[in-house]
Amino acid sequence: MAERTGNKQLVKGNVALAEGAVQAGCKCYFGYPITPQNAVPEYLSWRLPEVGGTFLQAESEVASINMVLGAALTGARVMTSSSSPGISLMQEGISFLAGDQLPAVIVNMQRCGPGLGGIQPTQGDYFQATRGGGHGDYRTLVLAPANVQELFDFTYLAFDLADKYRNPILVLGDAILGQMKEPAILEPDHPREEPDKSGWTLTGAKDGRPLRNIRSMFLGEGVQEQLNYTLREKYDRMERDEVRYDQRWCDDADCAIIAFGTAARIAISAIHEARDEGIRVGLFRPQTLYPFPFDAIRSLSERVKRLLVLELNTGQMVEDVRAAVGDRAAVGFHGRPAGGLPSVTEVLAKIEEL
Amino acid sequence: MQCEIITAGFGGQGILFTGDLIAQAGLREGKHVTFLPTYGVAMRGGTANCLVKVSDEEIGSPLFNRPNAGIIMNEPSLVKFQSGVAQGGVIIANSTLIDHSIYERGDDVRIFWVPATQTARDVAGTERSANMVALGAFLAVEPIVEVATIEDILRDVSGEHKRALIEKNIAALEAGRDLVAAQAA
Amino acid sequence: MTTKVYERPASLIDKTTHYCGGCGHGTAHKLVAEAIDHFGIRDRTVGVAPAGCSVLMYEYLDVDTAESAHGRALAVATGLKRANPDLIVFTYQGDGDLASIGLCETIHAANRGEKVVVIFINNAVYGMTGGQMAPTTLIGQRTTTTPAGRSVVNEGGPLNMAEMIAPLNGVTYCERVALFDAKHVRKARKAIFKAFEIQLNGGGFAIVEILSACVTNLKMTPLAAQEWVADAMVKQFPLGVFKDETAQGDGDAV
Repeated sequence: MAERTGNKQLVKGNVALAEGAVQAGCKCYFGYPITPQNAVPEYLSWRLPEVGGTFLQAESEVASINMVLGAALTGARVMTSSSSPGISLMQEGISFLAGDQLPAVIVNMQRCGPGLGGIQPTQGDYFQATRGGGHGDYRTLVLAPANVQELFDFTYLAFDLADKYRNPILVLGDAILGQMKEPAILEPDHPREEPDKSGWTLTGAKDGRPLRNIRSMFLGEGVQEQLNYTLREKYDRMERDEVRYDQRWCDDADCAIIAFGTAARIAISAIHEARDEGIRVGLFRPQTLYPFPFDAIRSLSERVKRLLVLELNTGQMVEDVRAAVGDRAAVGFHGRPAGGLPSVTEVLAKIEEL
Repeated sequence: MQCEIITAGFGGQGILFTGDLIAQAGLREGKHVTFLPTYGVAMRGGTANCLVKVSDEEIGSPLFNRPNAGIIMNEPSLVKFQSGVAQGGVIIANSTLIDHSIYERGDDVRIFWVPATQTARDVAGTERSANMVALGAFLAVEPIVEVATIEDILRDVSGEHKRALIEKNIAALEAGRDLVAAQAA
Repeated sequence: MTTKVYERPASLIDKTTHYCGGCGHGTAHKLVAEAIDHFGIRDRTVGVAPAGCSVLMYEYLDVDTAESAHGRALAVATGLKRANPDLIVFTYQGDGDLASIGLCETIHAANRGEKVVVIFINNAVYGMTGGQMAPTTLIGQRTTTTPAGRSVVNEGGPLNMAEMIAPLNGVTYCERVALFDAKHVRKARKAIFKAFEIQLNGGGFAIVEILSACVTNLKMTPLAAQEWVADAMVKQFPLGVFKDETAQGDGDAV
């Protein structure tokens, strides 16, 4: 990641992402309070009106995501945020957004599950996030920030990607990333790209143009099938063009840790300690979880023969890593679910086991 | 240099504010910092603590299990966190509210008993500045950031209407520093 | 000299509907189209049709429309109107959508005074899925999921939505009408016009509950079904204005 220049301020992750949305031209936010992401709606409740936007606390997450859908129909940049149980409630709406081919940004600051779980950090929603999440054959592009700066940058970027693909984009954080503060520059490093949407938005049928209908149900013979192929073609383009990852200390590495988000932060601490002891450990950090960096991990496995996947769960991303690596390298796993955070000591022990 | 600090106490004792101040001062002085608050199950009363890292190098995890410093403002927090403090670490304990008898660590940790709440009452006229007394004491022992930087931030972040409060906080900060200077001498 | 006394509204597409003979949707669609024509708002109107027989509304109404998930029409409408307040937004919902799965959205949208028009088709049964119990099914009414008739003890009684919605703060207008004869169709037309007029004037939530016959699922002839609405349904769901904040004094049914 290139070093950013600008005015650094100590800022909470949830606030950074909310400001990233504002800088991206987000015009509407609909959401329902849930810990640990309440700073997002609290911030946007005053910040959005300040820039002429709309903030509305919805009656539920179910309502939130459908309000998001309504606003997206007009072409307005729109978002919601929640945490795991709330994101589960939104899945039907996310499926509709995908089927309707509507752009929207959804932030999930993960908390423990299953069930009510607790407010501790986790990465238990990896499968839900990367496999569509709701019903039907669709995907959401998933960005995985690992620091407060990336929470700002990726949320900002998410709006461009949503418009580019007319697809819901997920920003997947966790309770630590949302609530921690660290220095970040709350200014974008590139201008935003908002395409002309006048060709598809619902504006009322102006100047005698034919009516438009935005839907996901198509009854004609083969039409629904065709929609799914259209979506697939879009996901193929995402898989070709949008894979993002950060690879560090891998050139001389004897082994590498593959981790995203907060797990990657723990990995970095462990790598520093390992290298102090003369153990050459590298880091591979996916920044998009869908599309997943299969090719980059495959080529990493050609060079580095021992890989450790570190997650805040009992093993989800590791399945994708194993699919990428095959038998080219040994893939170990270490994870702690539901707030039982892996310590640097544990990670070092696992590295030595490899 | 990497310093891992835990601040802990009752909600309302300015625990998070203290950690935030250290992190902000670190940022101003060009260091790498992280600040991670920990709440109870809900954001109501109870105990609060936060983890602060200040480092010359990039910080990986904002978490740590073995802090090298603890600013401990009440008894339940000392009970909970004393065993975690790393060997050679420092504890600032608010002796107004903590009975010495609960302390169980040996000579491997340096503990400074600071009557933070009482001193705050005396020099600032309010218990609410106890966190500043403790912070002043801590920075006298471990000068990871300059007291002057903390004072600058206090002046910058508060409005003119809080001028009196800022000066009380600064008086408390300096009183804490002097208390520990006396103990260390 | 010949005088044209009737023509198809311009906003109603010239095609045969898929609705069953005697179904109220065709008439209700036409009345909405007439209102859109009357106010000249085709170029700024967006309709929302959730799951149900009328999810195909876009086949018949010549305006922009969006499909919504079952129960979520008013959340979608809220998003549309809040994102673009210049739009004229209406929902067209059945009883399952508005009064069962979407009850939460209905109450909250009404309470917030969302500036939208709600066309609520109450036909006391689930049409599209094949005649199951609706929240508005009458006591004793046989459906495919209440074969012995709806009982208060097991299923609870029918929900009277107009009565429930009218007292909420954000509601500007709330009326229940029916389509069982020409006189009542004219009343329904007036109510729908009024609801759109309220939105054009910047007023709040405006809902028209329309009692309509689901001939197929009632397993009656079209005529018998209309009579059943006029007798049995009207007893449970009295017609009238339950709230009209644009009028002086109280509505005539309160």
